[in-house]
Amino acid sequence: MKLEADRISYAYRRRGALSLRRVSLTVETGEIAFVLGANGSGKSTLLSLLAGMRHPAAGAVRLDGQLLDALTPRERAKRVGVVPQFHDPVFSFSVEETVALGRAPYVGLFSRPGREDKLAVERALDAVGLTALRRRPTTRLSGGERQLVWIARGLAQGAGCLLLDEPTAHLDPQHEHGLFAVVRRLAAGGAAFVVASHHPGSALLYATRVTFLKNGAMLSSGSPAETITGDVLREAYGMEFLVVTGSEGERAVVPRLRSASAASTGGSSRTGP
Amino acid sequence: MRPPRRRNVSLLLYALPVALAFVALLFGRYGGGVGEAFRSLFSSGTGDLLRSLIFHVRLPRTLAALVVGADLAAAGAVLQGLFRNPLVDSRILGVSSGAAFGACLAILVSGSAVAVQTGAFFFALIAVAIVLAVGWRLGATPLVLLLVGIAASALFDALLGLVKYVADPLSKLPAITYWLLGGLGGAQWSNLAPLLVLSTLGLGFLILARWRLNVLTLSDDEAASLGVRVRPLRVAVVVAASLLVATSVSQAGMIGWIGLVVPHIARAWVGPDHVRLVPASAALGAAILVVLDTVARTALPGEIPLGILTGLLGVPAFLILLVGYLRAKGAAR
Repeated sequence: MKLEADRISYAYRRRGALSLRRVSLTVETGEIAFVLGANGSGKSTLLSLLAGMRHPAAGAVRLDGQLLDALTPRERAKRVGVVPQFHDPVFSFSVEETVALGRAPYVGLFSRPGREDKLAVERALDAVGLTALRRRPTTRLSGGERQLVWIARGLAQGAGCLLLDEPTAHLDPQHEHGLFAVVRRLAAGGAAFVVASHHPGSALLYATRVTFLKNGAMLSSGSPAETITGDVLREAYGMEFLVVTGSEGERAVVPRLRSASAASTGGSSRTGP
Repeated sequence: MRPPRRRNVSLLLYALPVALAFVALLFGRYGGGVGEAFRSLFSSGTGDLLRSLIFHVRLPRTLAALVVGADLAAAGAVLQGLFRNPLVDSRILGVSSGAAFGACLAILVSGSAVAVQTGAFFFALIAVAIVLAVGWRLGATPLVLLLVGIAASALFDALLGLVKYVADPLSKLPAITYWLLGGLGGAQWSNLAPLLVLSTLGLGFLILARWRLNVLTLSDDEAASLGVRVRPLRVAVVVAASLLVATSVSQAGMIGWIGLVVPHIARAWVGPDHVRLVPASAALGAAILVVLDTVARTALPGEIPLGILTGLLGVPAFLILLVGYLRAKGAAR
């Protein structure tokens, strides 16, 4: 499985300002590609193009070399899944019923999930460790559990590539780590992930590659170590950061709390302590 | 809504309306009570007046009550899901207002039962057509359909006001008022065919497609990411639900609350999955309307308009559900 954006551009309004400009990104099985950038930098737009929900004005999105737009919505849904940023269900569908919706591309208009669909749901629940909560209404889950439900739905879809839009926006550190532990395990088990995130620190820990966006254009792209530097972070977020290395080799991103004028004269990137 | 207790839709639920309908046939103002009605039902005599009354008057009316109840409740359940809003009911798309205007216009100019039924149905369809034509251009999102539906309702309510204003206050206006209160007194074998046929079509579609209806409760982008073409599906469901509401209102006038309250009771019983929700709502709506219609035609010497009964019972039922819902959310003390 290889999902590839090749120099794609996109404008929300015809002849309007470009929300994405010549952005490229590739993700393959086993990888976790992070998309980082400030609010409004185009992360969600990029994800919706990768999902085939919007169509690039220029450039192309390819899935295993095939144009994504050439696939029917149903075929596309069997291969690319989306975990939306907001899901606040109005009705209290159970975990199982929610995950079963991932079988929509396989179940005809006038039929219901069959034996094979039920097996796929079981496997997906098992893969994210939610089997015990299968009958719980999603309205009564924690934020982290809910994310796992939607990831399981993507797995039930049979999607080899899952696009996660800020999956840890409302999670405490423990749940954030728990979520990414599952994502890592699934990636190792043969899935590809694209994660739009506000946390460069998470990318340092979990990403296999990183793309920074700024105002719809690519700022930097490559391995976490190459891309997550003080210079790039300053450029991306308009403030100073330190990228520090701990005694065990773990790296972290820390905002510099000194005043902006002092920070601009100081080093932008430094390893320590 | 309420924490769902996922009982299987047991045979009991489907047996309920049938059993209640059978019992309802035994009740009536004519004859010597339930026992005599039961005996005459199984007597072999052909000249039995009570028996003939049961077959020619009570049976079509009871059948109409079953079908109208099922129609309104199923339409309400499906529309609540489609609009992702548990406060929506079967009147939301302007269909009821269109039907009311059509029926009252027919009363004004003609007054024959056939004209009333036809007028109601015709203008109900015009109302849906307006909602879909305008709504489709604006993207056919739930919000757009909701707002256009409100506009269509307002339009036909205004036109209905005009009809009432010009109606003869001695002959026509009482007939209009009475029709608007709703009732199944007009149901006869001779005029049931449209209701039965159209309800079979509408309910058939919704029941066959009921698993897919779950997808409509997601946001449009989410549904699209599952490979579902949302807009055509939504329009198909709107058409089916409107057909049910239109044919019901044409037959029975304005009967409120069934389409709002029954889906909630059903959801509390079987959960929000449309696979069980749609049949459960239909069965429960049928059962409840049969009981209410029996009360409407037997409780007082004169008939009680059905819409008044559904309102009197629907409001407390709704408040009870609301309290239960808030308790479940931990918001009420």
